[in-house]
Amino acid sequence: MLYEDPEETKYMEAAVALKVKYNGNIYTYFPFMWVNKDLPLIRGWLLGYPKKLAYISMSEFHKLLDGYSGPSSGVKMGGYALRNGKEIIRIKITLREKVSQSPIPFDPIVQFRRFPAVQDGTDVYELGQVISSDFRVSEVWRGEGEVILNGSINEELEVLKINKIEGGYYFNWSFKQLGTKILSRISK
Amino acid sequence: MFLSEIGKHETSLMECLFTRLEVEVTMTKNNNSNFTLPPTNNGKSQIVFQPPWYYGVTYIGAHVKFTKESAEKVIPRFLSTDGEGWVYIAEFISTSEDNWDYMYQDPDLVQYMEGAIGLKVNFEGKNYLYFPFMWVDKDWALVRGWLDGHPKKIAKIAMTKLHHLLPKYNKPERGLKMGGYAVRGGGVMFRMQVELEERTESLPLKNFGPF
Repeated sequence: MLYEDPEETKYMEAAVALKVKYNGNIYTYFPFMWVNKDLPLIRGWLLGYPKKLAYISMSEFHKLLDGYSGPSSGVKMGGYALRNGKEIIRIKITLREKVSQSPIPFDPIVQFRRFPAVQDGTDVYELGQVISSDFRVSEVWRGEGEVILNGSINEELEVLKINKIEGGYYFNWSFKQLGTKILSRISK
Repeated sequence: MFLSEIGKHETSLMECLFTRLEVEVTMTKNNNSNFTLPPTNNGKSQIVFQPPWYYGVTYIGAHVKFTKESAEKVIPRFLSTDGEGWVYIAEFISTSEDNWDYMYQDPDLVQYMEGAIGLKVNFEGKNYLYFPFMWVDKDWALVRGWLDGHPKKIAKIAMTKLHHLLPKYNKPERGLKMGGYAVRGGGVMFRMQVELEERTESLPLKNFGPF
């Protein structure tokens, strides 16, 4: 697929994550997530990610571009997500220094697998821990960050109030996703 | 893509139709705030709200006879088909009972385009309409469709529209040509054109059975 149809192997994603506690353990939970392709949307829903579609853009490096050939102190990067043409998230970071690790994930990821019954059929509502392996992280750069969250009719981002931005980050990672381990079945 | 497998239709048997449908799908009530993801305190962010869902649809459709052998390649083995099919591009206005305010608050959340290929299938002695392929251009229409079992993917979809103040394209009439297409990734999934001949009182779908 990587050469037969590159469209099917590339996508953009934007998300808001929260550090949450469940049964005394710390987890990462994504209440909001957007992608720009149907494949990661459906695959995400199978794992419990509440993905919607958005137009997503971010700064990219190219090895031959002066000033934007790679991360270095003072480089500014930005990105945004638009759903149905309206801006929901905008981020700007200014890189300052290379650090040893990124702040996320805050321990394992938990998400809700939710597939309601419609008149008949099985109603699925369960809390699952996403099972991943083979994490690899390249250079992690830290700096200042700016975040704008815009609420809209169908995106309650306005309920999130930012007290402080601890930092802005740029990094690459890769991993293998294996599925979900169900922690709890939820009764409505 | 398997579309090439069912592309061998008998054009002499193609019957073209243009119509408007209004459909109400009634389903059981569910908990309003967590019908779908993401669950929040008041549920306003969920991608699909609870039924009932209302649909107002404008179609360009074609009644097609695919070859039986080609149609059998895109359905599960426990269904059978003689190859009779229904292909359409359609413009939907649709909302949940909970969201009539979306009509003016955000038209993007109530309007979408759809393209689909349907087959008349037989299951345990009864005929049904089954869609092996369906595309839409909005995420909420995609997820809502998956809840019902429609195998929706995202595509760019376009169709001819009429406007009552245009000199030629103001209403369906004999000789009017209309067209549409669905494009996904780097390929055209299907393209269709119809030329209207006469007003009819019934759709071929009435013989397909429930969907």
